[in-house]
Amino acid sequence: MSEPGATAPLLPADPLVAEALAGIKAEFGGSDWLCVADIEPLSGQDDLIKALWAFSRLYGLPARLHLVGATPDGAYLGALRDFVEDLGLVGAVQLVGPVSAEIAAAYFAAADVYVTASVADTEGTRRAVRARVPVVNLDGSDTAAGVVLTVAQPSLVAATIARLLTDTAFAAAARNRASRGAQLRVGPPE
Amino acid sequence: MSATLEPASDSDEDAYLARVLSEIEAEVRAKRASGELPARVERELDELFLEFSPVAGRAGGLHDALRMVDAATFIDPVVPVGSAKSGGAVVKKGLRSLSLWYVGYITHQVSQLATAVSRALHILDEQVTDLRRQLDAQRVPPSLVVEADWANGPDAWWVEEGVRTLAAARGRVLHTAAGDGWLVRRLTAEGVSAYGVDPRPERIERAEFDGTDLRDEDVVAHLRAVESAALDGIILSGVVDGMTAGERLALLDLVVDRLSPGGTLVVHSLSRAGWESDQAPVAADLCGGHPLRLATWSFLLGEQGFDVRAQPGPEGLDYLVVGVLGDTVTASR
Repeated sequence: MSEPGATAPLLPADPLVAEALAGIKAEFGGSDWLCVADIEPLSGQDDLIKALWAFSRLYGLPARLHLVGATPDGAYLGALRDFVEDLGLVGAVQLVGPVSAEIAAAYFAAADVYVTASVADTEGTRRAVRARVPVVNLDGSDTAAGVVLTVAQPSLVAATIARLLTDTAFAAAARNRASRGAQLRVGPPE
Repeated sequence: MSATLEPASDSDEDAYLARVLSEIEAEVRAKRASGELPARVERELDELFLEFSPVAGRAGGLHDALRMVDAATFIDPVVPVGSAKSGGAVVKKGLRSLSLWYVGYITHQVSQLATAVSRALHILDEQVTDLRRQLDAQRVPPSLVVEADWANGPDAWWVEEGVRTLAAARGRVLHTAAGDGWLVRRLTAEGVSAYGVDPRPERIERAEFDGTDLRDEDVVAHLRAVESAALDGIILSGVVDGMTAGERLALLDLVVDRLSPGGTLVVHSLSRAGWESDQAPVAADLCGGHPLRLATWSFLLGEQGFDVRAQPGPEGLDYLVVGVLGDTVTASR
């Protein structure tokens, strides 16, 4: 990745969306996970949903996954909706769709962790780094930044995010590495 | 897990991160081994999404994917010229007219390539379909739990010997196929830290309410998730009888690795005579493999470094093999 930690100024966040997201967090607690990428098979949003389900099952903590991005593949979007319903995650997974830059900025400001399963998602990762949001990349490629999981194993993603959310030193180190374009690789247990 | 103070220097940070990453991996391993999220469930998640997935969907597979390839084979060089801006459509139309000869030349070649690739994929699809048909005809059925009332229950002749053998175990002891937990409860009553695994969920559900540690898992998948040398004893009953040679050897390799030094393996199996008799359960006819002879178990376990003793059942319909793993083998693995 080139210049993942570029210091361009942050866009102003849409105040209404920011307020709504803050209100939900205040009422229900828990963490907000964000992914900003086209919602299509190559982006692997299904892997993020599996990870959220594992997190909920293993840690019993509330969490919301916001999937922001264009929806060029209606069939994949429909499959995600059915999958979310079948896993009982309606309400926890928000298929937000395409939004303006200001609304996206509100999501970045509210996010506790940025998750992505796509190596092509350089822009979302770059914006997360700028917003000082820890990045967890499920893609496992050598070019990804942040905490990079060598396999998209739901329990591994869940455990990594649980640690990021509760261990301030780990989160800070993950942010620092990502801002330098460096990786923290986490492998699967045997 | 709780908030932690930030490390003071880069080297502190490196050491700290190495520890955190290994702790995350250990936590995942522990959660999988404890049955909170077995590896099988994670695989089922993938399969569940495939049911909804537009490609390789419910009844589809390669055919559906090929339809999508076919639909995308032709690349249209005549780009749309609609525009929301005043005069935009005219400009776009002009640009299209000027560049159509060039774009058309490129897209023609790309379409030709896509058509050739699509044709090759169709040929592959036909060949794979034909191979699958042939494989289905020769399919080896998966091994089942082979359980006979007279051989797999608290009154069976070998149970006292099995319990006596493991009564002194200080670490964890696994029984599979555990059924409703009849042997796990018996071992627990003797003070053994026992738990059970069984791939038949309906059998586990019956025992869920009495607090017995039973897990709905395939034995091989479970052992893969267990750490090396983590078990003091393993009892295999109704498991190895109908396995194929490959399945049995793979299981044995895992058992050797997961047993602690000096750990004990107890194998109960029907004999060839029991397998062929009318007293054998129906599952015996549906498995791909058949039981080994008693002498073969003694040989196999001896090769793996076990100190083996074997005992045929009173009517010759089944047998018990007890192997104690030697320290030298485990030290070298």
